[in-house]
Amino acid sequence: MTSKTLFKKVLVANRGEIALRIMRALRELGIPSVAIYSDADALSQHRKYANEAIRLPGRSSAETYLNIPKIIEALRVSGADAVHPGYGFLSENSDFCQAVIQAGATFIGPSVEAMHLLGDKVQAKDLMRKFHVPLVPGSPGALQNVEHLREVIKEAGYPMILKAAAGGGGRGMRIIRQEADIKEAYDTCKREALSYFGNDTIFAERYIINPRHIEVQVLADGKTGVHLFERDCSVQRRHQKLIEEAPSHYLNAEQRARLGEIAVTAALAAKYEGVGTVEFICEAPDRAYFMEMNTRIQVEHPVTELITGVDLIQEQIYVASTKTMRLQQSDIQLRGWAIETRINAEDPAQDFMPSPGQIQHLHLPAGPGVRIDTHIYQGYTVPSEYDSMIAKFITYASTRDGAVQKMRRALSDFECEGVPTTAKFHELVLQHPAFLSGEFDTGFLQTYQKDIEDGLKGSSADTTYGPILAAFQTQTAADGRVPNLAPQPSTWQQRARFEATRNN
Amino acid sequence: MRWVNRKKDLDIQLPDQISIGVWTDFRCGAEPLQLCWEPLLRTLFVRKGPGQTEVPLKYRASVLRKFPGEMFSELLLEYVGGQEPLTQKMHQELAIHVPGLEGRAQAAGAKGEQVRSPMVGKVLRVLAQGSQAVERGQELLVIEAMKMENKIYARNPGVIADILVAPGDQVSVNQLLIKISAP
Repeated sequence: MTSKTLFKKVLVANRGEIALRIMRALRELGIPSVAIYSDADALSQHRKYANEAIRLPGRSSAETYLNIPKIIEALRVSGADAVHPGYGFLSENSDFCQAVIQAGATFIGPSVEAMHLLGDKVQAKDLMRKFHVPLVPGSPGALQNVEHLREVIKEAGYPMILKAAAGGGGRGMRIIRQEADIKEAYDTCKREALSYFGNDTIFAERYIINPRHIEVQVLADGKTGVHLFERDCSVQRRHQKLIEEAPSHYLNAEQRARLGEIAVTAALAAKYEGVGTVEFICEAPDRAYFMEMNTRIQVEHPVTELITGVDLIQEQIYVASTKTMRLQQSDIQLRGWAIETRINAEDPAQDFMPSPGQIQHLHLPAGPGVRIDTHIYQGYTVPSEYDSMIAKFITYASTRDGAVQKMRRALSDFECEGVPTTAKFHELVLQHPAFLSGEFDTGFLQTYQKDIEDGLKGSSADTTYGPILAAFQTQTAADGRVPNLAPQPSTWQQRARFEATRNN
Repeated sequence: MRWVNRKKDLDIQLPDQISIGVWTDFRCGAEPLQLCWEPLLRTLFVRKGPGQTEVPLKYRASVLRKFPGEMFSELLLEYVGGQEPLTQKMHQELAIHVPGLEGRAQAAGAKGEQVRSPMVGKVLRVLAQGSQAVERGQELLVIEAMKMENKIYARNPGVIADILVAPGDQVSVNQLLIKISAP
């Protein structure tokens, strides 16, 4: 493939590891990249990695990576003919998509219409119903009255959840577990919906306790589409994904193929273009219900890349520039198992408290089957303005056990001084029997919270060297010494300070 | 810190001094440009002016140079990722000199010195003579170490006051070899 048919220059409207990930794909395709960076990111790697960089004055997201006029101005200055939004920030903002198109450039992602349609949960579900994509059992639309609710429950069964159509964020919801609750729940929910949201339209859905979260990666050009199998993102903390894997241990080959077909149907229902993810909640392996479609590349896309060998970002750029696909379903084969852990600058021992700061020492894992997507480097200061994710570790092996072993090895190879990370937390999850068995759901962390917390608090006293380490730590603490090397400025910093004070 | 222009026919007017992270004016041919050095990112950014795109010139490795008699790191700047008109001319032609500790005496304009051996080895030849006037960068003697001949240069101009070694002598690190007095 020559770069002639592709874009001339692409502006990456993002930061951090995903900006680097996209720029790497662009470099491999021979397309120059343009970075935008905030003042807080002046020493961030994406500024250096891109072929060109443009400063967006300001530190906060609102002033910079979420500022549509500033980004459009940067687009004009750079002369780029396409924009890649990455994930987060403006990636699912149809106003931004519209502004990019108006500026005469291509938005690497779905059309404004598709983004609109899939961004609205009620509209999206109506569309999916038309295309026979399975939805959570419940009322197909607004509930008329209590009798209507009783009928719905007769068909869908208990437990049931009542939701306000205009609601969100968990407010205005009522769970019904038995016959006696129906009347009261209906009235209360209706009343609350009216007082909270000014709209008393409510609907009913089956309440699924701790479902499995399974999502299917799709790639489409609006007319045809392929799926790239599923990812299982069931290890979550407060609805934040922490560990993802592909494929899912939960599905067999037949269920996998069927879910893939459903996902492609869902994408094509919205005439979807580019890469996207169809999220399902699974009550049972053969009972997966459409939840929503994410119209962007996702954080966890590398696990799919490893098991299929497809570079999703390159394919996304290819589809956006040529409006055609170069992959068929038969080109995509599932091979092996991949796991991703998100390394966040958060202290798991202190309830995942965000911990920005300077990385004084860094050693990243490497070796066979280990992929590290990150933007951090030794001496880098993790800014407090943005997301706490500083790295993604992805391991690949022929089996799930193999991938887990590689991840445990990678996590234990990781050294990061100056900024507490969630690496230790992942080490504990990856040796938990429930995780190893593969039999767990989104309630995993709630169920085993105590095990993990004990692990985080506990020293390594169970190992042979534990007592020695503990004694060493006690001794150094008593001396007022720090058990590891005191943070020293790097040679470059010393150099810089020296240079800054010189007169000639 | 100094600049090295490797391509002699390239007309680049570099600033005498730049501060880290601050945009400084310079000129390349007739074109006025600005540059900004970020040592932590190991990159020199070049742009046409405020609000314009910045082009990164990175240095992936630094070379420690000891010639002539001065020790400094040379950071060879390169542009990675295709062709870019703005930096094409400067690609691999510019370097930043970050002086080592030895460089400071020279920078201060010192004269005369005590020449010490930088390594363990055997004196092969002594090229200077007593009372001889020497220039900065002049070859003084040759020491053999690890099967290689290493030339020792004068860092500062002066007059040879004393030669303390003869060919065939074993020398150790930091051993005084020659005394040069100020002219």
